[in-house]
Amino acid sequence: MTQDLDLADIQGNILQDFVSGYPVARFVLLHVTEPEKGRAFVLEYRKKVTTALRWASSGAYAQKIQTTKPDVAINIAFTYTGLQALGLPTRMLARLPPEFMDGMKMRAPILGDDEGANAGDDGGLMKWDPVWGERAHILIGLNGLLDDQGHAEPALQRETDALLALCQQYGLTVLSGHAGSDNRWQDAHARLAKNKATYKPVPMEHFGFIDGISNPVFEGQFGDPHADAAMAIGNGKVMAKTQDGDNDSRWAPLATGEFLLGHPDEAQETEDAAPPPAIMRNGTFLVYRKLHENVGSFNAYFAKAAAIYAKANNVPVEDASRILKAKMAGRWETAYRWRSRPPSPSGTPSTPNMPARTSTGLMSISPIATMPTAPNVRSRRICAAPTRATA
Amino acid sequence: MPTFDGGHCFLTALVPIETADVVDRGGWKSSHVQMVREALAVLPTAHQSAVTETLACNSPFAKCTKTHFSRLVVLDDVIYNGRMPTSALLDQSDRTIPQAIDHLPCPYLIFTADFDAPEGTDAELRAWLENVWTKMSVDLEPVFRHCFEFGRKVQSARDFADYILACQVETTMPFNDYWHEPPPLPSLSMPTLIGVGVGSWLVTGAVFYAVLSALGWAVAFGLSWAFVGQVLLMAVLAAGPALYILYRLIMARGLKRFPMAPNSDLPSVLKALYLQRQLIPFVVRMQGESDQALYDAFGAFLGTVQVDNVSAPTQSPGVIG
Repeated sequence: MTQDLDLADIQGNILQDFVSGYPVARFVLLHVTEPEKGRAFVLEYRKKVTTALRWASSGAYAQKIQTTKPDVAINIAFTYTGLQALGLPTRMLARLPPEFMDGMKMRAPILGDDEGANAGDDGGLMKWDPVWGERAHILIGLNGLLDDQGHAEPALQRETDALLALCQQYGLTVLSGHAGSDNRWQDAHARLAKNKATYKPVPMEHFGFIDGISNPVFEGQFGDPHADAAMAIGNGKVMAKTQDGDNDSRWAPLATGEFLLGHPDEAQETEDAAPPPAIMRNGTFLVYRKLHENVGSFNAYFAKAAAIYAKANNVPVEDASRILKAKMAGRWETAYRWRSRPPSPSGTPSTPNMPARTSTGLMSISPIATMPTAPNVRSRRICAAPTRATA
Repeated sequence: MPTFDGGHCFLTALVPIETADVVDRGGWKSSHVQMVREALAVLPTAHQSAVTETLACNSPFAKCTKTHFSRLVVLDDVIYNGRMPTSALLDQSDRTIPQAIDHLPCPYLIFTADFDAPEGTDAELRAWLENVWTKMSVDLEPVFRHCFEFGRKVQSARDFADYILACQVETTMPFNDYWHEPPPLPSLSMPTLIGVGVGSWLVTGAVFYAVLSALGWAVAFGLSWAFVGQVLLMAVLAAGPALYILYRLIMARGLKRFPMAPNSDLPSVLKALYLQRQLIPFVVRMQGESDQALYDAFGAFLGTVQVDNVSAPTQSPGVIG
């Protein structure tokens, strides 16, 4: 029997990547003051949470279509202190993982976010938005659609207003201190490319590499063993060689428990869960992390280094820049790994922007040649997006 | 069959929960298994302490005067307990290849109950199920309506009994806790065991010998090594069937139902609980009293509680402890 997931019990952003379907996002942090009211808020707001139930145009998913695509996809997550503030029993809280109990702030040194903090400069934690100075309990993620002028559809603001009204009704504090035009939330959107008079999101991160190539596939995600197996090629795990030597058949989806709590994982174990089992089953751990990419410094460094490399290896500067970036990132600006197309003895790749197909089967990712060129790309320096994390 | 034991029926039913669609709750949707959980969360349990006895609501099973215990549980899937353990020295198989993991085809609602069935017949089980639906369909329908094709198949008490009986699995280990002394189940005596064993051994050996004789392969009686060898061979061959007959005899005894324990039907158990709850405060109250006062008070106590009258005064169904 294969893994059959209870899609209505799983939040939508766990099984699929909302960034491609919803290019604009807004993140709101809430603080619970009274447990009873906090619980009442959760009970009420859960009706709006977007589940993993399929809607039309959900790509490769084989599950039955059971809902319609919402104008705004909404998700909710809790911090450890949030679960405490909601009044959950100690018996349950005590069985949560220490890493989750600590929270990001306690573990900032592991990420290097405390670098320079002791020296008194503005390094590390000093760069965190002021909102993290308060106790964040609940994270609400609103994912909206863009109009062709690159602006968020009005539904996003409507849902924001509805959330604010509900928070007021149930006595929850909307934490302020985010960076941006309105410090009550963090806005984010995908990079946009101008095509004639309209803007479209493009799957690129700010250093110029294609984004979203490493979303892993796990068992049950696509609702059908064949769909899972097909999607696992290049995005799953590599099994032992098969007798027929077919490389694609060596790929298999990862164990469900790597992404959903309460299911067996890759270690062939079912992780211990806080009681009662239903409270964590089909949930996951979410990392909310805001990154600042120093695009200017990055480009300036490569302009300088590429000139030296081009001169030393007698290659065009443009190729030299791409080669150096590929060496640093381990892959070309496309999804192809660096070693998939080694440079010629002279150091010049024959087609640096069209590397050979690899066994990873990632041909569905468009090569860089079809991507919009830099002048048409409108970007913000700060991009925040939820990242899926394993338990 | 241990489903019936000790004058009780221990029902176990695994009822599949619907997964083909989801429930529209007015703009938002939930799975049927979630609906079952929410229905169970608001289904009252029995009054489990003196404090809760003032509550207006009680377990729906309190409406039935035969039910001792009942439990409704959601089973999402079978628990996976890790790889099958093998010796790392002897088993050189590749540990990176995951072993297959079993899953249930759908979540199940486990419905178990322990109720009076003194005759131990299927008719008693059916009658109890029909009684349950007749008396508490209003309470149980919000739970069972999310089970596989329940709405289509169950329109009456008879349908409910049919539906649950179709989902019944054999109870292999009933919890028989009402015997406070060894039940009258005489063990097989050693002479009986020896008699049956030796008898069946001799008979089987004789049959073998007769078969060999009929085939013309038997060695004639006499003091020869061939004859001794033949007897020894017959003895060894006959030991197998003889042991099997003994095994079946012992297993048949093991399958015999426990007789019903004295005073173990629900009215008697309720009366016992009532007496227990009355006696303890009486004992506390009478500490330090004179012999005569204790004698008089206990006489009055016996008059009040009417030990031999099972029907009254007694404890209400649905009140535990």
